Amino acid sequence: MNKKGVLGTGVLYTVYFLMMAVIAIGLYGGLVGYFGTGYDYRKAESRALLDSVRDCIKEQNFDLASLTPEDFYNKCIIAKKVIEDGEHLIYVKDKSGAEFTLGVTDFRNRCFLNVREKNKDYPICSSYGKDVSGEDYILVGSSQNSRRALA
Amino acid sequence: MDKRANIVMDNLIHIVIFAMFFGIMFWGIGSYSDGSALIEDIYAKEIVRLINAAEPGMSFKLDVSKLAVVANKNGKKFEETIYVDNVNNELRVSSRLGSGTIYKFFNDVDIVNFRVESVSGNSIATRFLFEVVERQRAGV
Repeated sequence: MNKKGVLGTGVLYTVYFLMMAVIAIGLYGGLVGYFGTGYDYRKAESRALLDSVRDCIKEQNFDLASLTPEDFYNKCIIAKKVIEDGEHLIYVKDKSGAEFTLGVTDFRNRCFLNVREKNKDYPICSSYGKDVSGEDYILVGSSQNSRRALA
Repeated sequence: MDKRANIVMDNLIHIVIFAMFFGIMFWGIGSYSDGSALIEDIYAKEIVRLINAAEPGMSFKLDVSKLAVVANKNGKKFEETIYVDNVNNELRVSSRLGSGTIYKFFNDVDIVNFRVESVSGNSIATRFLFEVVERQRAGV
């Protein structure tokens, strides 16, 4: 077994990947600096979703304790595959304390982190009512960003 | 002999990784440099905003001239700039050959009769027309 130079080659690979990372970060920084971070639609989407959910709940007068996700999706005309894509949350709590959740449960925490404004991977949320006992409360969040794809 | 083969293999791997890295990078930068990525992003999200607020029975006519002009510059036919995938609830906007921007709509409706058409035959006055109908659930 000839192992001469194996260590050197390994070190060179590290430098090689480091160089690529520096170039990528530099170009990305330049693009963001010149063009901005793009059009942030998370807030608008969460508001639109909140309006849909709130109107539907008022109209349908659901019993949250016995409500199934399928019933909710069918009656509220909201797409299951979008809400359950890992980028959305619908959380509803009624006066009696019964809860109904769809999507990413952890958004209930991530919605309130300060980093959410700058980091587009975090959700922006909209709410209706107050999260206290004896009141209706709806929290809706979206972290959806457009994605580039081959067309 | 083995040593030489190893050196060639090492270099080949380096070159392939390097080419892939720069290929992906130039693909990304290319779409930003002429503003097409931003235009696609804005149109995708604004059209989805309309779809999310729409109800079955509504029909829309939107001016998409800016998108069509950018697409025209990039050699893309304006008729192929906007596509709706009703199965996955996705809207795809593309102003470049080979790439596009995708955004999802949560309103569980179908978008039918969608088309991009030019009023005067060129890209300056281009419209996106579509109709909103109830989700066709048969067979789903």
